[in-house]
Amino acid sequence: MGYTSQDDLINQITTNGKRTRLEMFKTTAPVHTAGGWHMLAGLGGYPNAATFPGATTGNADLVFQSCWETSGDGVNIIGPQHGGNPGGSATKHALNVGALVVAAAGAPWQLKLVDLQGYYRLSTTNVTGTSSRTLNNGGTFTADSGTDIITYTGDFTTYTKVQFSNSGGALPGGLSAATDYYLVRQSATTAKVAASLSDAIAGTTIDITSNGTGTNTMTVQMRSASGVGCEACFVVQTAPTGGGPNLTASDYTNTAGTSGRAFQGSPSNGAAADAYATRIIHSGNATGRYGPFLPRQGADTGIARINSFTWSGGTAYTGSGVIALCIVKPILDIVVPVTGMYSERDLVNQLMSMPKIDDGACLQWLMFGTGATTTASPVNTTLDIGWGG
Amino acid sequence: MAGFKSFADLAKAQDEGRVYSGHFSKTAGASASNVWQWIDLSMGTGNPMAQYYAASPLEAAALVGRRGIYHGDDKTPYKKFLTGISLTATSANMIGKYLLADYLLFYPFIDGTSLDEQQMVNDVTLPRYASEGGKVIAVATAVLTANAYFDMRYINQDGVERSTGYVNRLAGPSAIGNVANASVALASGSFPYLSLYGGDTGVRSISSITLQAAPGGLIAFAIIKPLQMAQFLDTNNTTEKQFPFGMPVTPEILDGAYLNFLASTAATSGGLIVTGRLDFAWSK
Repeated sequence: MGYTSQDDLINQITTNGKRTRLEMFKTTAPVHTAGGWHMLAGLGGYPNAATFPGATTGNADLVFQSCWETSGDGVNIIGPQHGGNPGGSATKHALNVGALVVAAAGAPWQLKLVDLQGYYRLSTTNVTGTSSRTLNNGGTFTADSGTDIITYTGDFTTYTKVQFSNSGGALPGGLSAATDYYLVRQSATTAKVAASLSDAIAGTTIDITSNGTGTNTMTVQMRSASGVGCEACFVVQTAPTGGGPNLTASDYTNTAGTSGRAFQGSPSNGAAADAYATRIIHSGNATGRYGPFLPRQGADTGIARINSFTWSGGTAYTGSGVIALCIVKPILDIVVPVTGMYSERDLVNQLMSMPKIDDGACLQWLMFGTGATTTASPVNTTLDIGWGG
Repeated sequence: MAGFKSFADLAKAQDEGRVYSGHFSKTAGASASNVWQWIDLSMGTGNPMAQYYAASPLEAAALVGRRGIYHGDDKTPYKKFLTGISLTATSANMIGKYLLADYLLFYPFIDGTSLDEQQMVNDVTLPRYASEGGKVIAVATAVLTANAYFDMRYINQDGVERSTGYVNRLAGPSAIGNVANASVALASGSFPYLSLYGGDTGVRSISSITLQAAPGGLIAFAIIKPLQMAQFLDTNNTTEKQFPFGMPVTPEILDGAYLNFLASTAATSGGLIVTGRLDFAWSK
């Protein structure tokens, strides 16, 4: 629950101190070409990150990697810490936002705060190939009641939110269908299961009382229930050497659980000059570009998961690029009209107002530069958050 | 299908993912005159890509909605509304008024050197607002060098054929991308539409154009649906309008709408950029 009234908001902030202020900064790199969107996760500053997504031996391609406030991308803490979960029925909301960019060129800038739900890492032939890539959103699993461990294919990060289902038998004892659970990773193919995010953080896991029968399936879930409000974008970690294919086919599941939904318009990807680290690769001033997000189909209100995609047409990428297919939930926008100006937006007295910050949100900034933004430019942002309940 | 019934109903759109923001960044073409010349930003480079009214000469054609300022895929049976406009520019020349419009239909390559009655081909009809029609603008797609009155025969909102008479004038010089009938010399500060036969409120199609003199160049006539106006006032600030507080009445955005701006700027705009965002929400 947020606030019951303006009076409640004032009381919670002033009497109960239920507020926090985040200050973040990033230093841009490299030069941003004009008209492109960028995810600043991998830039130096605060929170600091050398690359996004971070390299890890367990981070296999095509496997959904859930991102969280306290665990980042599974390698680096990439989002600001916003104070954990308020507890009970209380919900956190953004109340005020500010932004400042100092750069010799590139103004005006548009900044968009998103909650990075997670990503699918792409490298080698998953970047350069032209066939369909099938993404791993869970799959079948087995359970061991002796160890309380489930085993599956794919290395999912700790805190990955999942649901279980069964056909031809019964789920392992202690697990229920259509219920949110959180993985506590044990190895590249195993995890214990927690009943809530708080339990997962505390290391409190479920006692699995039987191994179950039939076929058990695990499916990843977005932090935003059913993926409501979620969008998708491709973000470069390491630039391909050359090429620039089109997204000619895709399959995602929408918030109603309907699969076979497709991103529209065959978005084109940037060639090498527009494919540097942090760039949202299908944004920019060229034919077929959509930024910052891939166009969802019809009246879809979000993305529950992405099942597959195909890059073909155009020119296939070459080289050893690394790209993340990200699922994000947009939260708010703010514009910085000129260098050195601190822009501020009151998020209370407007519609849409006080956007919710989900528990465990991995907050990231997307940045659009009208012109080519000079490298090594500081981007400073502030965010006031409050909660009621 | 209903729109939004209350503030709470509108606010729920955010929580339920029924919102979308379309970002744009457009470089204006040159304007032949200085103060308050109307220019067609759809012909400006940037994002969305420029469109050049390219189709078969004199044949009605429609623009693809996805290639304008993107507002999301079709939402039928739900209704989509504009809930916010944000504009920023870094040059004082770009101060002025920005008219957001749905570009419905256009007739390209009207010959500026011909005094013949140039007959239009109307195999393609209005894709939206088919009965009420829209307003008409005349955009220079090749430089016009002289003034010229012209007569336009058209089908009005009631399906009746009318003629404007020689009351509208193309201004020379008009640079590429200028709204040639709305030069500062002709209609300073006014809206950029052609005058119609008395009492008419909309144009469903254009039947012919007859130039009284030869302005040179090439002209595209476009039928547009004006949606919302925003003013950009200060280079050190962003102009924003939000429904319902600063924008009590908001237009519905129809499926397939090709959205872009006409701009009337304080000074010559060539090579200058306006960037911004349109916010949308749809009902359920």
